[in-house]
Amino acid sequence: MRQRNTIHACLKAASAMAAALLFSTTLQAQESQFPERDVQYIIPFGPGGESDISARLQQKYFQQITGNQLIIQYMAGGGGAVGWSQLNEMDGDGYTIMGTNLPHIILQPMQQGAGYQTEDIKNFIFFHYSPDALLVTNDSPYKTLDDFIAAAKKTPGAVTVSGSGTYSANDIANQRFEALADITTTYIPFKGTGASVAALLGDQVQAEWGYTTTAANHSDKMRPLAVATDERHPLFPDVPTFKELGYDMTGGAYRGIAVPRSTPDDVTRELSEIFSDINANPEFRKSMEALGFVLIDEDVDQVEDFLAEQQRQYQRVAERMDAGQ
Amino acid sequence: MNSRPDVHSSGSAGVSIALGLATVVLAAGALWFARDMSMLAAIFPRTIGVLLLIFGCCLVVQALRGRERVSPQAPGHWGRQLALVVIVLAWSLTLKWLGFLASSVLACVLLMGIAHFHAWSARRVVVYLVTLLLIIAGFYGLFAGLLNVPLPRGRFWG
Amino acid sequence: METLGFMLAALSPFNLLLAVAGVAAGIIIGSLPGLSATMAVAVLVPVTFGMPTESALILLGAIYTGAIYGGSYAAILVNTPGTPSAIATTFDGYPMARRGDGDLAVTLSTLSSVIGGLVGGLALFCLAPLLALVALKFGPVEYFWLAIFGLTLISSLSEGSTLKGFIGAGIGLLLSTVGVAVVGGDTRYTFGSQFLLGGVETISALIGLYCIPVLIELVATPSEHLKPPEASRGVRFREGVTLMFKGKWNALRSAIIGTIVAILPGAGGSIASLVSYSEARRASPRSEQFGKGEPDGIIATETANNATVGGGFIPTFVLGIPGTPPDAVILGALLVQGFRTGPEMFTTNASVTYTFMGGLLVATVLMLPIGLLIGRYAFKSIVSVPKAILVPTIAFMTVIGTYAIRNNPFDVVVMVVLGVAGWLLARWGIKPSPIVLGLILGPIAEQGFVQGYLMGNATGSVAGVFFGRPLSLGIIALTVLFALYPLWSARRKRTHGEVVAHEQST
Repeated sequence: MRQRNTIHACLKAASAMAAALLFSTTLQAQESQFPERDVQYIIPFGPGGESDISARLQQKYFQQITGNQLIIQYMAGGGGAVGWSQLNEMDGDGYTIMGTNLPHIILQPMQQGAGYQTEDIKNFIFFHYSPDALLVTNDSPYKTLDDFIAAAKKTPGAVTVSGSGTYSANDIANQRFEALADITTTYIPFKGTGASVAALLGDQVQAEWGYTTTAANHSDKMRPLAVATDERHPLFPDVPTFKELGYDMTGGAYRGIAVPRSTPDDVTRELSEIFSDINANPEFRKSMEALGFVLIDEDVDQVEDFLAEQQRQYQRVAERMDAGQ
Repeated sequence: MNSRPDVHSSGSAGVSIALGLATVVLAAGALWFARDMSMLAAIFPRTIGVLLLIFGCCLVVQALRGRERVSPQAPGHWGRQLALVVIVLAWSLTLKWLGFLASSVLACVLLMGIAHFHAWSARRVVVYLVTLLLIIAGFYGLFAGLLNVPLPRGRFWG
Repeated sequence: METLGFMLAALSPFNLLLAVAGVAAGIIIGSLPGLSATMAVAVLVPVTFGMPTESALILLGAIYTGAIYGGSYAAILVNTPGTPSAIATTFDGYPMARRGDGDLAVTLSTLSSVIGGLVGGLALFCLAPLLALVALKFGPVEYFWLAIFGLTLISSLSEGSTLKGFIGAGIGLLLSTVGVAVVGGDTRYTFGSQFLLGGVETISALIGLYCIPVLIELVATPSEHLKPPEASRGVRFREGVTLMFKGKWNALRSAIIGTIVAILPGAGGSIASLVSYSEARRASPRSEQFGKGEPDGIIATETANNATVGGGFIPTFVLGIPGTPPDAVILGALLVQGFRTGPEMFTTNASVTYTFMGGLLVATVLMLPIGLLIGRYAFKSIVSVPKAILVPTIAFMTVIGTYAIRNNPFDVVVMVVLGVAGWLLARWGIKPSPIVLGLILGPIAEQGFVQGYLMGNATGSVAGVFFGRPLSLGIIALTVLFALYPLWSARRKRTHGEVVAHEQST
């Protein structure tokens, strides 16, 4: 009899516990409905680049915040166009997201056959940018930006500058600066930042259009003459901004994330909040800034205005480039 | 693929002339489509196009002068080879539409059929089919599960 | 002495375990066409976040070196390079396997890979800062001439008609221009298809051009794929060592070529192995045996491509410029861990760097037992599997591997179309190797040329840029030498033959 009672009590306790467990899990599920499983994060470039590195850093904090994995996949080709042109065909359930880059998604559709329009891409956040920087080797005769400008003015076109790609952030930066400083240089496009850096370090070119991130990676061998940020970059407190020197130039390569167009707005909002939270994490901020990135937080509410403004800027440069050809 | 000793054969000159002409057509196409590229982007394809044009003409001239040698074609089951080409081509085109697994299983079973030269027994069919499905399942698991490759799901099933 | 202590840290049980696991996984990954070292390394990067940096590096390095070696299995047994570095291994490896010497070929490739890996690893250990400076001397113009040098190898690679070899290379060069141009930014030859924007992926082209013809030939006749070995005779290790010993200079030369080519970012293992192959063939007294199953051919390519592993880490570590695509992924992983490349790697972070180098050497040595074990199994299974299973299995691996490179179903279509075209072309005398060589060297030649041209315009003398630099003049001289050598040797042979004939007649 006694034995039976204990069993009964045990059963009761167990069922109570089970109920509690069940209740608490449903509660939890209600609290955060999204994401319930791992999220695929497609990087439309090959592994190893800056987009990949920043995604890898987000990966760790995504898991901390949501308890689910951020699975990074690569879909390289056409400078990202292969991925972006297929984005809207993917499942719009919030479990597929894709990295986006500026100026790529603005400039590529201006060219023929990119396979998508800037408006097709449903960005929900832009979270950081690599500010443009004009880089020279440590032993370069150009000590300041003025030295560089003077050299370019002396013999127009004789100063060679390397950069990654044509119609790319580096190419645009060069065009913008040429217009602002009224100089002519020879821009030499390379495949990727690595090759462009090698050209500078090997003294094949006199300067390079790169980013603060490039300068941070190679700080033992090169220095920026100026950086395109609003305020001086914490990693380079002695390097002036273009603005300080009188050239109205801020910007660089911006990175954001988009979802397929069919993704519901509430899910998109959840995603935006998660990535804003990652951006707010002090540890994450620290490691991103150490690499040379500048964090921004153009979330789902602001992203449209932000893009419109960027589009206006790039349109102007692109028109100038076409006119110049 | 076997390299056999070079022998003169009656059709060889014809093949070389055809190949030379095909090269000329390819080169002309390359040059034609390079006409509205920007200067920097056009240099390389144009150079290659011109070189190919020259090579193609040389091949035709060489063949006409009878100096070209071509290995005779290896005998084989033309029907099976053609079937393989058709199956693999159809497979690649239906990957997205049918889904990766569905189109692959279908194509692999068909390929098994054309690659078998002996008589089928019921036992053999079962053993081979099970082996093949296990291999496909293994690799599919490796890519989809372990390596996180997003394989197309298609309209029927994963 | 301190560095030695750091290197010995690679022998800790955990690090050893990682090296064993990495090499084994790498070999299997490398042997499957389409599963590249880059992909394997990229997938494992998140796993390494929880590890100490040096252990993470050892795991990634072991996978990388194992994958480059594993690429030779598919090359030998199925005539399909598992990685682009193994293209030249197909030339002699497959003929050896066809005649029943597949086991010996695998053993030779194992021994060669270990030796090549050790030479590359030691160069990394001893000469890294010095060799990195050499890498920087190579500008756009030098890359251009290097690509031209590579293209002259066609004359030694194409069996039969040289003219057809050049046509094949031209086709490859044209294919390489498809997609968005790096210089100029135009979209070229995409015919409005957004799928072609990314161009023709080299590895998918490789799989198509080599693998599809094998499949087509497999279903042509009921005969066995490979001749089975006469009896159970182990891995023929002794025989392999003897051959290796005979080819020691060949191995050393190829390892040095591999290391040097790998230091140049972007050149890569495929060029390294092709250069050492043609060099081995040129130097060999049995040069006419090359391409028909000559063991020295395998020794040359496999030492060279494994030497590129250590060599490729040199610019990665010293300059922060990745030497090969897998290096780019490893570099990214280092940056995420908050680790900087450059001189610090050899000063403040020396413990990590040297432990990793030790680990890479340990992993290389481990390839010997692990490789022989897996290689024996791979050979036996390929020989014993009936065609009805072999054909769909190879086909399935081809399709899934091609898809997985860029997660793009259209790449599979391109692969199949290129494969069928390649099969037809091969029947008409245009072999796949020149096409692939054109595809690989095309972007290097084009970018080098246009960049050099722009540099020349800026200085006011295009000719001065292309012909005025000592290094480029050296490469030009080498190119001319290589291009003329076949003519010269043919003439020498003819006169020599005449002398012999004359002596016999008298």
